[in-house]
Amino acid sequence: MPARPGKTAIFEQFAADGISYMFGNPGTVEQGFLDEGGRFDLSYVLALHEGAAVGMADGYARATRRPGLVQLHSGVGLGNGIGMLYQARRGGSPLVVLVGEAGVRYDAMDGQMAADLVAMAEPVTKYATRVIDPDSTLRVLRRAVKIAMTPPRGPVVVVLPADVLDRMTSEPAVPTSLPDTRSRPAPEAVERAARVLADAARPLIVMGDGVAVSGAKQELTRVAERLGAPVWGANSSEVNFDTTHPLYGGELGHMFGASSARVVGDADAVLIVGTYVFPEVFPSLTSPFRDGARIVHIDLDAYEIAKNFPVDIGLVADPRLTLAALADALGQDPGGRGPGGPPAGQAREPARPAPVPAGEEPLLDAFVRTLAETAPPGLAVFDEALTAGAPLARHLPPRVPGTFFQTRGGSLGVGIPGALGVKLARPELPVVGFTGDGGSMYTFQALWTAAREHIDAKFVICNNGRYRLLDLNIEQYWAELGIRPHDAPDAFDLTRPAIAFADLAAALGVPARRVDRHDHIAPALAEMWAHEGPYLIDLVID
Amino acid sequence: MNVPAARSTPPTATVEALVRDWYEALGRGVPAEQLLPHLANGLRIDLPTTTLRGRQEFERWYRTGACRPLTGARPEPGGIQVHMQSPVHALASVAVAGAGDVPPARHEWWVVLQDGVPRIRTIAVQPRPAPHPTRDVQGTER
Repeated sequence: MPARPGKTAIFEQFAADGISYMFGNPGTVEQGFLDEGGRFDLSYVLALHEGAAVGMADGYARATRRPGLVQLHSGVGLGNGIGMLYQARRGGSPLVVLVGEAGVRYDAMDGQMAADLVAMAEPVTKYATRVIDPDSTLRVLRRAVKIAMTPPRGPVVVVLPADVLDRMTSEPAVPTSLPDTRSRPAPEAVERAARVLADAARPLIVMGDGVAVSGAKQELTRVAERLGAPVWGANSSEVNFDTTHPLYGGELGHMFGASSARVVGDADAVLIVGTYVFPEVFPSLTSPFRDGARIVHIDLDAYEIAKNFPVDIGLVADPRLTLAALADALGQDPGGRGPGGPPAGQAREPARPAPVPAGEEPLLDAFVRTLAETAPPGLAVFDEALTAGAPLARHLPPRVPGTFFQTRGGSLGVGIPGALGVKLARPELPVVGFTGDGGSMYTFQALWTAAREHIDAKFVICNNGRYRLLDLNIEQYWAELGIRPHDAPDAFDLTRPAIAFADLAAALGVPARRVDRHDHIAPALAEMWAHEGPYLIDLVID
Repeated sequence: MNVPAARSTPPTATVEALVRDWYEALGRGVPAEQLLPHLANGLRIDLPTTTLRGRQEFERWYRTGACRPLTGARPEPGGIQVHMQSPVHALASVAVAGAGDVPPARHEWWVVLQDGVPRIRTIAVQPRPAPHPTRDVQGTER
């Protein structure tokens, strides 16, 4: 292999791994390798803020199940991206994040922008490291791809000093070796799990995105139908189970442990699969499960099994293969004791909400209903609507894997960039990103990237003039502490001044329209779908 | 079309054959299934009026028959120039003669080695401007 600078060799490695996009925001210390990148095929997607870059890569990685490549600038850029990296870490997005810095030779100088970048990145990544020898540049990049893609997937940071990249390396660029993690438990372990669940009078299933990553939706459905067990989502932000299936219970939520305890507390056996329990801000410190309940937990992440509460059977294994074996072990009598469930493999048609008299249907409901009726086939939704999300679940219920993605990890702002990432990953699908007025403003400048790259995604701002989720949460806080309800803090208000989203979008090169009346809905949606390119609707709701 | 697989750096002749054969197959309107295996992950085709991303979007576009901006003319004789940019990257410059309503164009094709096989990663179509009319000292065109 002829020697070439590390800044050249890294682009060979990206090509060898089939990586075609780099989402980033440049700085001086990355100028050498970005200059070099212009000589190669990699598509650099320029973002105007690091949060937008990481958010786009997150959406792309989730929709492709491939590594999303990010470039950040030194400590300041990494700092700006850390909120989104946290989300990627919690959600298990396989990101490979390259962070530039001036050089190893300056370590002792404590100069401008000097920081311990690895230490900064460690709390929000699965692995963080720094290349210090040019002959290990590609080795480290391959390790980063492997770690990011190996369950539990997650973001990896590689710090690339400019002086190391400027030096010559003879490392060959070869595809990264990804280990096959589709492991199946021992047959006797599956039999034990099947007995525990089959013996239960009131079994319940708690599932999460590990099901979607494993491609196990069908197998989970078989198990649920054989048990007649309701299925609840925990860390579930993709299509892990058909939400129109009669056994679908709902989502446990991400805020209060008491909410989850009310759901799981009655079950005498609980199957947890593809998620950690419980992904809440205020989790229950005591077990939410009833005394004597039998717990079976299936996941590829051993760390998460019995992390907080004991389990009876923990299986570190692939959800799809394990659920398939479990379904077989549970026998061939689907739905035999289910609570009115359909025959195996059949889902009910989405329940149509009762007709609302003309003029009484809330604007958001009318908008989403009309969107569902007029959207092209195969609509994919990126949902960061939060408190406005209920109409989405009613009119656009997630059913088909790969067409629904929800924010996860607790940080705001992934709605617009996440939808852009999904559209780049699945350009053949129509994509709509829903976000709020508060959430959108963290990364609104991602619209500029949409215009620059001609990314034909659509966006809806559910504009209620508030951080509405905080209104709801503080009401619960008051109730728990016996505080008399009163006006919410002024810090939750977003109306002084009102944000002119349509004008803001237009300034970034994206046409937009404000919808605040029912008769605006149909023309706005018609214009949105007719427009080739990004388009935004500012939907003014209560 | 039959393009030999390469496990290491593909010779320029292999890349040139891939570009020429794939382009001609496209122009003949062969079934999409014969074209798709030669496309890399992250395919991007920049046309004068639109950008195609990914194999599925390419396939849908191809099936509509709207591919004339890419296929409306043949490469000029000797018009494919291949430059190896790295052991896994080749840049092919393709000069296309105008034909009918299709103006002359220059294509830039990136071919990358993925899974040991050269595959087409990007195609950018840039219409070539008409030659500048030369002016004489009196400012009249000729």
